[in-house]
Amino acid sequence: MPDLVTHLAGAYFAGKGLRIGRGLVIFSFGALLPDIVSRPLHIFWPRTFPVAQALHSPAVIFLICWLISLFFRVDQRKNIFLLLIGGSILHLLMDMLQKHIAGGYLWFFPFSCQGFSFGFLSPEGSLSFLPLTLLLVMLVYLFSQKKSGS
Amino acid sequence: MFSDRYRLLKIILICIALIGLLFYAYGKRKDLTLARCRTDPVRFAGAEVPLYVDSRLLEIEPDRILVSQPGGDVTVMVPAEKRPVKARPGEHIEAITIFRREGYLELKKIRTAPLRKLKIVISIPPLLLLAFLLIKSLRWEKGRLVIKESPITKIQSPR
Repeated sequence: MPDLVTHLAGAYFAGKGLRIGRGLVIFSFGALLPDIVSRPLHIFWPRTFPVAQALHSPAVIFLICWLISLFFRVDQRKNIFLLLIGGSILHLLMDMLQKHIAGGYLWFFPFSCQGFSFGFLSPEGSLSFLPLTLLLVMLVYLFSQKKSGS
Repeated sequence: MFSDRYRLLKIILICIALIGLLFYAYGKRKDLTLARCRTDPVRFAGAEVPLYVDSRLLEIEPDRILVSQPGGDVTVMVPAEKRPVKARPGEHIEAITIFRREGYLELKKIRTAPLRKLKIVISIPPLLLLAFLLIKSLRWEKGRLVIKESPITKIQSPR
């Protein structure tokens, strides 16, 4: 996974591009959700790696998004689900750019347990771009604030 | 899918499906380990044994490395063409190793992840920020969550 600053920045840019208004927080939550549900397990109990990998798969994330949406008021439920799943898909796509020599991401779980990723960037590669990422977030934020003020 | 009809039943069924999938993942993904290979060295000779990114280098010697990983510490022999291993003790690594009939692992591929700890630490502030924004954006109303105007979008709302 890229670090969560990069994931959150990705959600912010996508949210701005897609003009997601008040749902941006939920979309951002969706963009961190695969790591929120899987990484603590993996970091604190490394033996649970197979379970953590499954928790990071689209099928399981779909069910988690659906489950979360059911706790919302009925008229908001569908939008909440779409925002969560949209953010999660963005997360999985960003992760797919990374290279792992052992593991990878289980895109087709439970039908296949074969890991897959494109292998363009090392998982820690996003850290090198972090200053640039933060600068871009700041610029987009200032620009959108100026635009809404004029 | 999203109506209030059978809502509780849907919640229970989703939880059961999730638990089932996780047990399935645990049972299905039994990766090869050195211990398992040693139970039948002839059968597993030449098999790939992965060392995931939780693995940490403990010692580096010219012809071998000692790796700490969830199943216990393992020694991995480094073939001549892979020497020297460009890493330092304490660094996280992920690797593919080959089990040899004689009962040891031989390094095939290795990737070091010296910034893994930094990545984990850097990932904490965005979580705290998101938790703060969620608390500010959500309210509890008649047993359901409701999203209200978020602090970020409030600034951008048209006048």
